[in-house]
This record gives sequence, structure tokens and C-alpha cells, in this order.
Amino acid sequence: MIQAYKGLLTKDIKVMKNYYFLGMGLILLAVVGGGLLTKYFKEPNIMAAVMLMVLFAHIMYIPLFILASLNIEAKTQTWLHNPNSAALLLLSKLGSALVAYLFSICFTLLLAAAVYFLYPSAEFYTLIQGSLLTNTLYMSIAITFVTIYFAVWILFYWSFFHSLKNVSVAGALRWPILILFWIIQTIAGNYITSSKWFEKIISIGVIEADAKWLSIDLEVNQSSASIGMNPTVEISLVHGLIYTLLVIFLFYLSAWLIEKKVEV
Amino acid sequence: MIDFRSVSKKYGRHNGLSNISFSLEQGKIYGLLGPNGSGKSTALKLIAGLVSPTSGQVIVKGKEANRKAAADVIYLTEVDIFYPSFKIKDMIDYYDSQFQDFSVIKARELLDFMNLEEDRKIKNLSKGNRGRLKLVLALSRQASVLLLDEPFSGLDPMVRDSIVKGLLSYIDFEKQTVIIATHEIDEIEPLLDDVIALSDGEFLGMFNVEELREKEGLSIIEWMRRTFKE
Repeated sequence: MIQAYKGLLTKDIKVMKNYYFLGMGLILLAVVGGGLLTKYFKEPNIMAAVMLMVLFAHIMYIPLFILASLNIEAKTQTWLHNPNSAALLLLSKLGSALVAYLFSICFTLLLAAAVYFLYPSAEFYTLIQGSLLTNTLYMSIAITFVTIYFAVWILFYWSFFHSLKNVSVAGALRWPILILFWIIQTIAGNYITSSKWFEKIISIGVIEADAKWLSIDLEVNQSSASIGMNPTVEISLVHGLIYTLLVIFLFYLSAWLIEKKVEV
Repeated sequence: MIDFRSVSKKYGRHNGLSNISFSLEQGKIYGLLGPNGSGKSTALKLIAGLVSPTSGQVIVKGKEANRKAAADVIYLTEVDIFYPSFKIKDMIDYYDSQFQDFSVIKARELLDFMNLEEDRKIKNLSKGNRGRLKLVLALSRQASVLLLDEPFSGLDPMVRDSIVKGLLSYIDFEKQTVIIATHEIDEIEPLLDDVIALSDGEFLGMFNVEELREKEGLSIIEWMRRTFKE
């Protein structure tokens, strides 16, 4: 199984090599664009803001990477003609996307460091409370969790979409069904997370953590306001557990759909 | 070896296959014949476990066919199965990592036989060489069922000839069951033991090639012309 996974991972990384370089190119383009604007307007804050945007854009990195990779597979009949489990095939997609993501986010952080040393006077940095380095690392970790979470949803929606292909009537209405499902999922999700019983559940096992990295002061005409002013944040372990279980459930549901319902 | 038991397959409202039943024996070469849209590819995909029957059962080596059947079944599809950025070597390595019965030594031997170089990029290969490479990948495995879906489609006579030679040289005639779906049978006629005829998803019958020749005095092409005209 390890050899099979290694083979799949190598294949997925090779197949997506061009997309990876495209991602790097877009980051460089954003940095060059930001640099030119900074020079033109003589405003170092632009560069710092661009770097923050590039960092946050990584939230969509793994979902988009996986979607592109799955769409390449959909064009051939090679991927599913494979004796290994669908879970292994999907795990390789996640693994290859994670490898590319880690390179990309490290590259972004290095560029951000370079930008910091080039424009140390930008006021933008003073808006972030606490250590810039620590806060940026916390932000990157949070972005990593969010991008993996979205990626698993993409796996599920892709599998769901393709499993409808050969279902009579539903096959022709795949997009409306998918959109309807997304609307229902969003409404149900909002209903559950705003309900009192859910709040009670997630209040179990709450720990307090330093959250200065979430707090950015915004100065407006001498008076100061801030987003996420709490110096500490409450992290619910149950909440984390629920999301972890949801991710595992969606992953295996996607694998089951591919195993049983997706046809070539 | 392979059993179709009252198998039907629907694609939406369209019938891919309608209630067909037949059995295939080990060590024989079958021609799956019929015009376009007759259900040949669907039948092969059912054996490979890449599609599921709407009703009925497809049994391969005693087990109901599903995606895991890929361990026992080699499936050469009509479509282009390659990743464009790959070299031939990458494809060999990938197959070697996924299929336990894949032999790299046999693959290299077949590459030599087909005049293909490992370091060539797949996107630079001609259609004929891509067809050859597909066969290299298929014949480098030792699984007991070999499914070939339109292996000659769009290929020139030289490539067709090399594919037939490849089949003759590298198929294990005792252990492997080979099913070749095609409507171009000039090249493979001498290879076939039996033919299965499909039309509009209906099973028209299974016939022994020798008997057709001896009893009815017909070549397969003549028999096809007669059968599919009716």
C-alpha cells in the first residue's frame, strides 16, 4: 500500500507541476504589481497589504488545486482503473495538494519577510498586535486548517456531481441539484451552529488562548477601533472535534461515492 | 471465468445493454462485435468494474465485478489514457506502483519490440505510438483477463500490424482470457476463438469462429455483414 501511495503521490505531483508553477507565477505577479504600485504611490503599506492578501488567498489553494487535479483525471479512464481503494486515490490528491501548498505558503512567507525588510516603515505592521512573526505563523496555521476543510468539501461535491452522471433525470440536472444541495447544506449548517444546544455542546472543553494575531487595530481619525479586540480567544475542543469528524466523514463519503457510484 | 447474468445497463433513459447473459471461458480469445453504440464498450466496462449493472450480475473469477476487479482485469480503453506531461518512463513507473502483476522487465522488452524510447514525452508521440504504448502497458501485466476496447481505432495498417504481432507474442494463450471489442476485425480474425455479437444493446449470440467457417462457409466479416444487416 505504501508503494501504491508513493506511486500515486508522485504521479499527482508530476501531473500538477504546471499548475504549481502557475500558482507561483501568480504570487510573483501580485508581488511585482504591489511593488510597482508601492513605488508609484510611494506608499509601503500597499506592498504589506498585498502580501497579507496573497497569504489569505491560500485559503483557496488546496481546494482549487484538487479541483484541477480531479478534472484532469475525469478526462482519462486511467485513474479509476486501479485496484487500490478510492480513499487511497483521494488521499494522494490531498497529499499532493498539501505538498504544493506548503511550498507555496513558505515561498509567500519568505517574500513577506523580504518585503518587511525592504519596507520596514509601513504603518500596516503596527496594526497587528503582538509579534509580527508569531502572528503570521498563527495566521498561516489557521489558513492551513481552513484550506484543508474547504478541500474536503470540494472532494465531496466533485464526487457527488460525478455520481449523479448516470442517474436518470438527475443526470441532466446535476448543476441545479448541486446548487440546491449547497443551499440546503448552508441553511442547515447555519441553523445548527446558531442553535442553543449546539452552543451548549461547543462550550464543553473550552480553553483560552492568546489571540493577538486575530486582532488588527484600525485607526480612524485619531480615535482607535479594532477588529477582534479580545487579547484571548476561546477555543472549543468539542468544536474542533466536530469539524475533524465532519472532515473525516466527508472524506470517506467521497471515497464511497467514487467506489460505488462514479462511473467512467 | 466471466459470467453475464441477465445484465442490463441503462444510461439515463437509454438502454446500454438489455438483459444479456453469456459465459466466457479461460484461455480463449473473444471478439466482441457490433456496430457503434451496440454496447461493446459498456460490456467491457462492466467486466472492468468501471460501471455497475442497472440489474443483473457480472461475475469475474467468482466475484461480482467492481472497481477492485482492476487487480484481475487489464483494461485497454479506446480513449487517450495518458497524462500529457508524462514521459513513457513515468507511465511505466506509475503502472508498476499500482499493479502488483506489472513487470517492468516485460514493459522494457515490449518497448523495444514496439520501437518506443522510455525518455520520450507522451505529448510528442504520434497517435500510432500512443496506441502502441497503451498495448505495452496492458501486455506488461499478467492479469488473467485482458480487455481491449477498439485497439485499432484510427490507427494505420503498420501500427495495426505491430499491435497484432504484440498480441501474438505476449499474450499467455493458456492463462489469459482476451476480449477484443472492435468493428474492424480484418487484422484479428485469425486470432479469435469465438465471437459475441451485440446490436443496440441486445445479445445476438456467441459463435465459434471455426464452426462459422466450416459449417456456414463464412468469414467473420461476411458473417458480420449478414448478421448486422438483418
